[in-house]
Amino acid sequence: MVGVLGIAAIAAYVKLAPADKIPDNLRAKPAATSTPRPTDDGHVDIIKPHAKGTDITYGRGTAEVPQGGDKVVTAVNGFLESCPFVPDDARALSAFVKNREVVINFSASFYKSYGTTDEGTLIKGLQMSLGQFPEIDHILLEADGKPIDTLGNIELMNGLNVIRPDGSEPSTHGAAQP
Amino acid sequence: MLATVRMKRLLQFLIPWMAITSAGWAQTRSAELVFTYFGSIRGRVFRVGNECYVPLDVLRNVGWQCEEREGTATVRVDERRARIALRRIADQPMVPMTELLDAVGLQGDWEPGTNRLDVFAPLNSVKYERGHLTVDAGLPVKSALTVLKNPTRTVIDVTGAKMLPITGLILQDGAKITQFKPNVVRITINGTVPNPVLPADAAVAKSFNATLGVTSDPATIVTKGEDEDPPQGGVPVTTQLDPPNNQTFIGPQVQAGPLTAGEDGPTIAVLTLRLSRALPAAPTFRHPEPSLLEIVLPNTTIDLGEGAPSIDPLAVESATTRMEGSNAVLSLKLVRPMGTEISFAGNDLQIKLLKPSIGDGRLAGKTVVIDAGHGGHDSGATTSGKELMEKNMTLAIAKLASSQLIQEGVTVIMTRNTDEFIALQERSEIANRNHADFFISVHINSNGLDSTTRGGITFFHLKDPISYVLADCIQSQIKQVSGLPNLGVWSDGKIYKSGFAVLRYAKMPAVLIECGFINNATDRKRMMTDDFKQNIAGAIVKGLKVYLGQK
Repeated sequence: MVGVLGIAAIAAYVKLAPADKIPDNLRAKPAATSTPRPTDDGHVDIIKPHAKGTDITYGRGTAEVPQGGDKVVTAVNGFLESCPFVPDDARALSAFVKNREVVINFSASFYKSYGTTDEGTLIKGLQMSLGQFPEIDHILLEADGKPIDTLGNIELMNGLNVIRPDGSEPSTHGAAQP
Repeated sequence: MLATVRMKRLLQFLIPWMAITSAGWAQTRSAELVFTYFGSIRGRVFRVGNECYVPLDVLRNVGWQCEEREGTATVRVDERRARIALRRIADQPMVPMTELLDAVGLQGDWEPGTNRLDVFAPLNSVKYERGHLTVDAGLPVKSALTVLKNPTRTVIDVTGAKMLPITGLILQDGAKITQFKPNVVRITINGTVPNPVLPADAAVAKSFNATLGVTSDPATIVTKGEDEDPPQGGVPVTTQLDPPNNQTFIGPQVQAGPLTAGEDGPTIAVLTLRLSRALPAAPTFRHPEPSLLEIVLPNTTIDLGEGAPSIDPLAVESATTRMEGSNAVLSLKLVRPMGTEISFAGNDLQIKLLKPSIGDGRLAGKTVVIDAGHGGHDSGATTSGKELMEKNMTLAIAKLASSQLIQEGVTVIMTRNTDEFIALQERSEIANRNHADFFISVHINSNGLDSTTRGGITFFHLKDPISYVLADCIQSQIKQVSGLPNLGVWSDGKIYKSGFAVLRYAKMPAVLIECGFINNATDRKRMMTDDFKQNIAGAIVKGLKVYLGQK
């Protein structure tokens, strides 16, 4: 009886007390958000691949993040639009960042095998698209909520590193000295 | 009496086990692990055969994340992760290091004649353009900058790094790069740079950028002066596969010659070319034909000596020289296709010829795994309307290759005979389980960004010199009969840094053939003909024969 009353009292307190009076340990956890808020100017870089034979180069454009939209999803879908070999309805649906790793969930049609040159273009473009976000080091790919193991010849179960705008990849963190 | 009999029986039981155990111990030797810039690692390390066993703590101490569970370890190196079975040695669970390195796309080399395993940070790329330096390696390296005088130059030593055939190099404004020591790559920028410092985060990092500023001197590569650091003993230099850059050199030329034979064995032959002093830039090599090795020595004159040079008749048929501009070209006609590594030993250039294991040299009796790419729900590349699918084209060529190989007396194992899906790793495991001599994967390419792209490529894994030889042998046959442009032999590291799964997991010489581009109308039309499929199958057979040294 005492226990029930105690729980009821806490519940009433949480419900009725002003937010700034609620102790941290009783506050509701915020719902898992997608990627951080859009950058200050609301724009992201869009990677645009070009090919001259097998020589693939990558240019950059910009796109505005839609109101309430996700900057990672905008960057990825902007890149996919420059890849005519990706099915028309293939899209990044969501992106979730945690511990410097982003999980991108694509529509089911994205998950297929591509020719080797196209596969290389796709993977490097994704690495570069996400390299613009300093809070992301690593990428995991999913389609329809299931992990993507490969898009042809390259193993993707362990994910990919991003490629920063200067061409570098993230350093190993916390390497201890022997 | 009874006790004596029991003791005798006990000894009879124990002696065979003691013999087996001591034989096992005899093969287990203490070893040394030298890890990138860390140097020699403290800890109990053992060598068994060609495997190096290290405790998990050693890996943790170099920053790798390790979890141990039920006799296996999950090791994470950056984004790469591997699950490895542990082995109990000296009462301690240990990780097979070379197997682990292979699984995460890295490599360790046993120092010849020792029990020392060197693990290097593979250098992915070095770029010096308009005063900006970018270094990118596969593991953390330690970098330091020094300004040297007479002549003035800025030197950046990257400790723990190793240059590879696939290392991407863009060097402008008088910059050059050498493998200065076995574990040090040296970048030298001639002239004065305005800002000769590295950022703090470059001290130990997998990659870094530094703005040094544009050099005040002209962008020519200057021959090393007499006070320049000499090449170090036993220094591996680049094993570049690409042709040399068109560089301009000033200063006196290096004198090369004579050429002499050194160590010769079933797997390696070593030749030594005397150099009067250090080369102004790294030498390069190329294989115009699988059995022809050409080494290009920048700003060098060459004289192999009076009469026939003293070379190894078991590895080299003949040696000739010629000049290409200011560069000397040493041309070696090999008795059969071999892999190549070149390195410095003091003032000499060592040419290592890596002899593929060919058994009796006959194709008959060998086991070949033919892997038809994709299959089942995995169509591979397709035409826009899916009239043509890579999975069907690869299966047709694989079946023809199988049929021709069987006629040659080869045991052929197909990874699939029907339209079914086989996972990437399983394809290689089929070859590994059957102890195949060769693994050959057949694919069709696609470049949706440029439908004018045409031609065939044969891939090998990262810097594997033996698989490179196999790829070169097969592609050299394909280019003669395919009727498509020859795009050559590529490392799979050119597509992605850890390469293709099927080549990475295969434990024998392994190649992946991209026959042509499905989205190019001309390639597609040609690839659809029976002629083309038969010819590719025939080129695979002939390429294997060339690899085995058959004339």
